[in-house]
Amino acid sequence: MKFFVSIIVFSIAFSSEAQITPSAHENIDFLMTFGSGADAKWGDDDHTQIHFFVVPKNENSPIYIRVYDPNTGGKFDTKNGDFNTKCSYSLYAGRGVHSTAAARSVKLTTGYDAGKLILSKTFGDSPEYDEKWYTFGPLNPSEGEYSDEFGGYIFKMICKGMNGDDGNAYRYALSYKKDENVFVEDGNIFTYEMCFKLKQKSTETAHVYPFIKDNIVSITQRNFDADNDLEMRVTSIARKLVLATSSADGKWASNKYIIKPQEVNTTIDIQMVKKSDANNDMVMYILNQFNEAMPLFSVPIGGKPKYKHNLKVKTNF
Amino acid sequence: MRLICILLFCLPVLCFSQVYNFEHFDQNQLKANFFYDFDQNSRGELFIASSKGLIKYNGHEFEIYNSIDSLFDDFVSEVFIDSKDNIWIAYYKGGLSLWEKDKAIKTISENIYVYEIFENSSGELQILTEDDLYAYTKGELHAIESYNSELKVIDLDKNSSLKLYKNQTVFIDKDGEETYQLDSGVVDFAFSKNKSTFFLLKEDRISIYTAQNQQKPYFEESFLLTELGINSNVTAIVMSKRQAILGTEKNGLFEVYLNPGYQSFSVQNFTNENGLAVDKINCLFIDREENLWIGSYGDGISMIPQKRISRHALTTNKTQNEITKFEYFQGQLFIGTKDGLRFLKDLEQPFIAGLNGKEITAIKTKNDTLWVGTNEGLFYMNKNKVQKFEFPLLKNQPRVINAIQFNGSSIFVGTNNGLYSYDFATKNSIIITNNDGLAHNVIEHFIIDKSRTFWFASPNSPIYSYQDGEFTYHKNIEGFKSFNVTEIRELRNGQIWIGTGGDGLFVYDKGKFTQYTSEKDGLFSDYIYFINETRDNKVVIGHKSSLTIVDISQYEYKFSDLGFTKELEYILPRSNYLSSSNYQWIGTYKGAVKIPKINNNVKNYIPELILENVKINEEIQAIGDHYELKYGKYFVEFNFSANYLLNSKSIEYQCFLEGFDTDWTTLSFEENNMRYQSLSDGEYTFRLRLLMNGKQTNEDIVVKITIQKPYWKSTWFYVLLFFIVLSLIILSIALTNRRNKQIKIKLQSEVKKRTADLVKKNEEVALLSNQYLEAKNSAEYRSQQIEESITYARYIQKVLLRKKDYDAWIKSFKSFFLIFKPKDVVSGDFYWGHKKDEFAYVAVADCTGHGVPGAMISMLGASFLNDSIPYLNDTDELLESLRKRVIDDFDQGEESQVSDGMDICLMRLNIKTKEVQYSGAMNPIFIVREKKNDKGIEGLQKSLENDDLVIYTAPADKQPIGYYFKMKPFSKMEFTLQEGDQVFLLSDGYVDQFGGDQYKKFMRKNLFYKFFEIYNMSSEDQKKELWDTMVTWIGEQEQIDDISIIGIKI
Repeated sequence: MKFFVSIIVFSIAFSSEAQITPSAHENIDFLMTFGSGADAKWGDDDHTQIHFFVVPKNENSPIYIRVYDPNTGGKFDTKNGDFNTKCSYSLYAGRGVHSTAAARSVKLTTGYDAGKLILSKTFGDSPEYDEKWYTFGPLNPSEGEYSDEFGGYIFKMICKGMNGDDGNAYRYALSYKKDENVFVEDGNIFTYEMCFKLKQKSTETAHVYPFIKDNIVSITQRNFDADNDLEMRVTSIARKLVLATSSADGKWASNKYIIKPQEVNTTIDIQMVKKSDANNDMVMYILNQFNEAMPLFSVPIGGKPKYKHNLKVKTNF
Repeated sequence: MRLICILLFCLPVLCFSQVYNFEHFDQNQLKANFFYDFDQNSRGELFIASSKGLIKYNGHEFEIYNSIDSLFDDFVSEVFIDSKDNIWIAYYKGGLSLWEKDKAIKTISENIYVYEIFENSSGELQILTEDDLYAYTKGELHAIESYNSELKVIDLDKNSSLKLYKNQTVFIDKDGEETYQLDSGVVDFAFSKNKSTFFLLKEDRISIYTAQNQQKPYFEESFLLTELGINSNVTAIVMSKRQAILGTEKNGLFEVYLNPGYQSFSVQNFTNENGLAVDKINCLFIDREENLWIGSYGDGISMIPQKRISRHALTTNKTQNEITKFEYFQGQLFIGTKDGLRFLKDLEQPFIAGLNGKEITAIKTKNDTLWVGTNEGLFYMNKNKVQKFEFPLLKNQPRVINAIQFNGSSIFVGTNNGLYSYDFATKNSIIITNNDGLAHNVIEHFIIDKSRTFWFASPNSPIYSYQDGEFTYHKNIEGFKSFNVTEIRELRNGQIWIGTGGDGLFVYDKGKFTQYTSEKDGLFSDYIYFINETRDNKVVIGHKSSLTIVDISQYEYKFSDLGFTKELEYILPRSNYLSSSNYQWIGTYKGAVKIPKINNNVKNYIPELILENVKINEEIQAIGDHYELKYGKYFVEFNFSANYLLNSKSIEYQCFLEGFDTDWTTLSFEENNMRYQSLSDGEYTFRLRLLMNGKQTNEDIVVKITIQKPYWKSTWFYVLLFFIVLSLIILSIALTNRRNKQIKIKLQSEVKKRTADLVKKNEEVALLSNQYLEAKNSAEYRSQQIEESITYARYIQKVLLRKKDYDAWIKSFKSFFLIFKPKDVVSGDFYWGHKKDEFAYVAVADCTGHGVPGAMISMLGASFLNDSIPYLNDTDELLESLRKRVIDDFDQGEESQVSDGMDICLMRLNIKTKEVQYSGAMNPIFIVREKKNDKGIEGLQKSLENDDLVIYTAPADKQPIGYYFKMKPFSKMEFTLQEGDQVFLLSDGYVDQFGGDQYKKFMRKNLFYKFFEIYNMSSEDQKKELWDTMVTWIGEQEQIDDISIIGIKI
């Protein structure tokens, strides 16, 4: 466990991208949440997206959680007829925010919103927020729920499509300042299920980076509404471009991988290569052998995995 | 129709920058950034719940307590101080601690999540959690069964309480009556202190209710938050008097003041732009001093003093912010600055009125004209046009204008060059100067009172006035020493109030001046910058750093001050204005200061002076007013405090220990203890007092300390000692008496015995006396016989020495004298002479001893010489013979004990030839010769000479007549004398005689001088002179030896 934490800290300490999600490492432009009236085939199975923000335990200064383009209306958002969608952003702190099992589940069961609601804001299609950052905070880091596993206090942001049927594209950032992104040293953002917008151009490759802890025996990747537009593959230190199952429009697809010993305490790269230039929003999460969702970090812990060739060279002298 | 009049006193968009006297404390001071709650204990200390611990503030120091100090957790979300001063601490992450006074912090619960802690009207402590309501009794928490999801509860009175439920409904719960719902959609509420008014805060509005005289609260009014300008979430609400104070998430602080009739509100908004440093407000608190504390979420803490003072800067130009004058003219407030004239319109936005670059020194309105004095002359403004005014017919126009007044049809202008006047009716101008009676040509200020008397203020001048062509100098005003009048104001009652620079205030009423000072009457300072009369019988007096408010409604004026106000530190003289709404505008070097509703601000908070503890020899004692200590040396320490959150620097302590100190000791607010070392026996009285701005605020705290005297210093001991001493004395006397009696008896007995003895002794003495008398008589008789015998012996000696040929022998010499003076009756010396043929023998001898023994030897010596002379001629032979007879007859020798003998000088003079043969045993002879005839004497040496005479000494052999251990034959010398020579033979009695002033021997040398003196005298005179000399020399002393001298003149 400590090793896990130290790797997280080490790997993200010098990474500013870690505190904007989606990050450049993921090669994903926006997170997506659709209005509750939108059909799941638009790429969002539950119209709710939950992200966790980790603030190091020694942090005393106020911090801010910022949302880019929080409204639903504008060039980045997915329009379905006229923009008529409202999305609420609810920030939770305190006891149970992350420790409650439901909060870590990919299912929206009772308790997923555990914790103390400290800030909430609902956005419609107001152009004043379009392509702009909206700031929640200041936040007292100590108000988050302390997690020894993650080495800091955890806040939870739930973006929920209230009504309407459009898709809200947005990003999150963790910052020291309310009006610009000054990243919190050793801060981090992760989620257990990510609904996101793929880059439109074909051959663009999106990445998801689950970290394999030492108690992981197998993982199952599950994706939804990939529209058969993706070539999915898995790469790690011990495997190279192993194909994965990609879902069809409005469907779930999954496949399971047995973890190789070399892969323990490393990151696995699940790649999604775009086949066409069509717009595509989808959902992805990873389960371990206990059917527990695994945290997906914006930045691969320990760096992107690179397959190590296991060449056996024979020599005759 | 409901009348809503929302007055927005302050909008942050104004360019007329307004800053309030807020105090801000940042993370560096607080050690925390996020604040959740406040409370204050009875001592005035403020406690702040923060995410880093519980912070205590006493007015000058923040102290943080956290888990190191036994808090259950660092993150404190709520603090509540009950009526017993116990501190209840609730934690954000659950848990509850109790910090009882003077005890350690203890954890009451680790797992309850506290919403609210309160004391109900019965004084019972109740703790509302997310799940339950608890009471704390007997050291434990007990769930109260009646809990029904309340979120906040407050007792309106003993019978009824207001309850806010989780479902945002508010109910009135009254004993014996059915609970009823008062309102819904409520997120919070706030009460006035007396609980007669309360605000209910809803998502979008606030509602006001009144609940008086235990009546059912009734709804008064409700206002949308947006109507009040509140466009952000309200995060905290408190109520002060008639104000609801709302903290918001983004729009700063709103003070919503309920106007009388409850139908309108006035709203004041504090933001970053008017001095509020915090951004997101998280909690609010009004302390006992009526200061408002604002806990932020990430930005520290701000404090707004009860005395809300705003400072307004007109521009960023410094000189334009030096506010010299105010004047209300045609509905606008005109402000004079060091750099031109400004005016304010409705929203206090400053506009330039003109005269830029000129210092505005005086402003006065007359009808529709504004007269403005500057440092460059007099101007007037009419119909928005500013023009310079020239005094007609005057050659010298005034330059620096100090004051403007009107009287009848004339304008009077006080300048640096005298008093200028212009009569608009007659169009005449005049100048009055010191030639006309002014005390000084510089008129700094003047007024014209109702009786048309001019009162002037000039530098270094007395108070003086002018009426009907006559100047009156008010000299000899008691207490007016500075000769510095700074302000003159006529009140509505006709009194003239005169402010001074150092002598306080003088009130002129009915021909009499009365002085009021800081020391005597309570003025904040004796330096007065302005005087202003309000509309309700109060006078405001401006000082540097404060105002004094004088209530003149009573016969005796009541003075109170505003307390130290740093905004007035840069106050300018006579720059003030009292608005119709009682706002006091005051000009300073740094903008205009506005003090609202000054009439309501006359009460100052006086912190309580607390004697915290008394330590005696480092041990804390229970607080008392008298400590009685046993005899010894004590180290006594007094710890005290006075918590003044607004301005602790204005606090000082004064201590005085009667019996130890000679004067009061003044301590600053930080030095809150006083120590006294080595207090010994005695009575001490410790007095402690609190000063605010140098004035005593409370009665002295008095603590007496009695250190007992040692028993040897106590009265009883003295009494005991007295009685002991007295007893000892009495005992001693008694014993003495007894002893005396015993002694007396004993003595009497002894006396009797002694008397008897004495009688017996007397008889014996008488007997002895008779024997003694007999013996005495016998002795006297024998002595007489002895004396007679000796006397006869003398005769015999004389006869023996003077043989029958004595006369013939004398005649052998031309002149001769003899001094023969025995010490006793008979002499140890003897002289001898004999004439044989042409020879004359002369000898002087000194025998061993004197008196009878000496005389007997001398007789033997003379006898022996007489026996030998027939047979012997030479002197040496005679001496040999004499020695032989002495040795033989006295049987002298080496083994003999007898050493008797004699010293002798023996001379043989050939009478014819003057040839001399001489031999001597120890005794020489001396020859005195005239120098003119002297050719020396063979074998003799000169001993002394003067111009005329010379003395030769014929030395003797160094052996006596008698046995001598180195005996040798006697020698003889032969020499010839001359006519006129004098020869002296003598024993040693003359030269060895002690006497004179210094009791010394006479010495041979002095005899030689005497020889010189007497040389020319006759023998008789020589003898007389020599003997008189010796008699004088001996004086009162005793002759020690026999004296013999023979003088022979040749």
